[in-house]
This record gives sequence, C-alpha cells and structure tokens, in this order.
Amino acid sequence: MKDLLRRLLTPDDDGRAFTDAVLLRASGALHRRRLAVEAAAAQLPAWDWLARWAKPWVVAALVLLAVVAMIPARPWTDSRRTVAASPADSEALVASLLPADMALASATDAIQER
Amino acid sequence: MDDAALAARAAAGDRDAFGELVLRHQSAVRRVCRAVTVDDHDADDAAQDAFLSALDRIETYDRSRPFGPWLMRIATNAAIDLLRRRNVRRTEALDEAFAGNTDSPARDAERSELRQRVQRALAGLPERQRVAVTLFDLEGYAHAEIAAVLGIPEGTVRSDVFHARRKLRDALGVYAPAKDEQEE
Repeated sequence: MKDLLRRLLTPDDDGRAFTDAVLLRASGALHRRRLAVEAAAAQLPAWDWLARWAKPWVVAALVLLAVVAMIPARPWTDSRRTVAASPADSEALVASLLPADMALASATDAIQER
Repeated sequence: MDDAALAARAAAGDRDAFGELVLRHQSAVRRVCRAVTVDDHDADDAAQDAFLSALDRIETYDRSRPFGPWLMRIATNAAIDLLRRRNVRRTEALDEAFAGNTDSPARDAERSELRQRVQRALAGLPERQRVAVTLFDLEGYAHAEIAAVLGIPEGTVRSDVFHARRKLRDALGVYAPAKDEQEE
C-alpha cells in the first residue's frame, strides 16, 4: 500500500518547473528581504563594527589601562609610607595652619592683650 | 549546505538558497498536499502557498531543529485551508493528474481504474487521517513528529494512521491487513 500511495501521489516531474513557479511568486518577497538586509547594513553606526567584532578587545584594553594606571599610584602603600614618614610635629604644623585655628589663635591673643 | 544554513540565507533574500530549499522539499510537500486535497492542481497551489508562507515566517524556524516537520506543518495547514476555502473536491482532476500516456491502452485503463480506486479511498478519509497516513507511510515521520505537525496527541495520530490504513485496505481490497500492521 505504501508503494502504491507513493507512486500515485508523487509528482511525475522533477520539481524544477514547480520550483521556478515558487521562485517567481516569491521574487517580490525575496527582493524586499534583500533590501531590508542592505538597509540594515547601511544604517549601522560608525563604530558598530567595533561593537560587533572588537568588543572583547575593547573591554580587555580598558581593563588593562585601568590596571596600569593604578600600579604607579599604589595608594595603599604610598599612604602608609607618608603616614609613617611624617613626624608628629609636622602634623601639628600642618594642623595649625588651618584658617579656623589661626583665627581662633588671633582672637585668643587679642583677649589676652586686653 | 544543510537546511538550516539555506534557511538563514533565504531569510536574507538569497534566491538560490530558497530555490534549493524548495527543490529539496517540493516532492514531499506536494505529496502531502495531494493527499489532503485529492487534486494535483489544488495540491500544487497549496504547496506553492506553503513555500511562500514558509518564506514569510522563516524567522520563526528554529534552526536547531529539522526543517522538514516545520515545513510540513505549514504545508498541511495550507492544503487544508485551500480545501476549505474552495470547499470543492474535484475528484475528476485526480484522474488527469495520475494519467500516464506512455503505456498501452489496456495498461492505461488498468492504471486508471487503480487510480480511481485510490482516489476514492483517499477522498473517503477525513483530512486528518489522510495527512497522518501520508506523513507516516510515505514520508516516514514518527507518530510523535506527526503529532507535533498536526498539533494533536500522539495517541490520536496512532489511531488516525490505523483507521486510515484499514479504510484504504478495505477500499483497495488488495493488501493483507497483517502485513501492514507488522510494518508499523
């Protein structure tokens, strides 16, 4: 029964005429699709190729730059050294130079002179 | 190039890729459409509609899955839609479709008589049974795949195939039931 059905339902032709007929009817849709693809390609942002192809490299480069920029500063080690190297007097000197302290000292001196 | 790659290129408007897809699947699609419409002209119209519809919605095709069942679902629906739209079963057209004129008149008459019987047998089946038995016996789809194509439970497909085969056998009257049951 399978063979009989297959023989009777299978088209006699090789399908090329059918395919050509389908392609003829589909030519408009295919053309619109090609136009849409071309339009999409033309409207890509200038650096879209970068986002598409080089995004990992851009990220990697930014990370590398950030790391390189942090190494010379080394804020944790520098701050410790500064704190350790500065004498207590210099800290007091620096603190005394604050405007508020200077104003307070001047006011105190004026009172004492009276 | 596999079907998924061709579908991707067809989605971008590649005429050759779409043509290759059509050429690859036209035979199976036309067979199923013939089984549904029982008319070769209607079947080819439905098959063309199916391919155009497939192109329209090719973005919905999951490229990780086989192309055939996805296309067959569209083809089946296209054939059923066309059949219902016309609401006519031009059974006489099937004779013309199956008519071969290279043999002797006696042979032609014999084949014509056989075709009429097959035509009547197919036409006597409900649409769903025609599709199920065609997909199962002619196209080699599994019950589960046919269930996915038709959107019905697998058990229903088994039942449809069983009843369709039995009706065809009864109508044709030339095949032993036990043989087909074992094939399944």
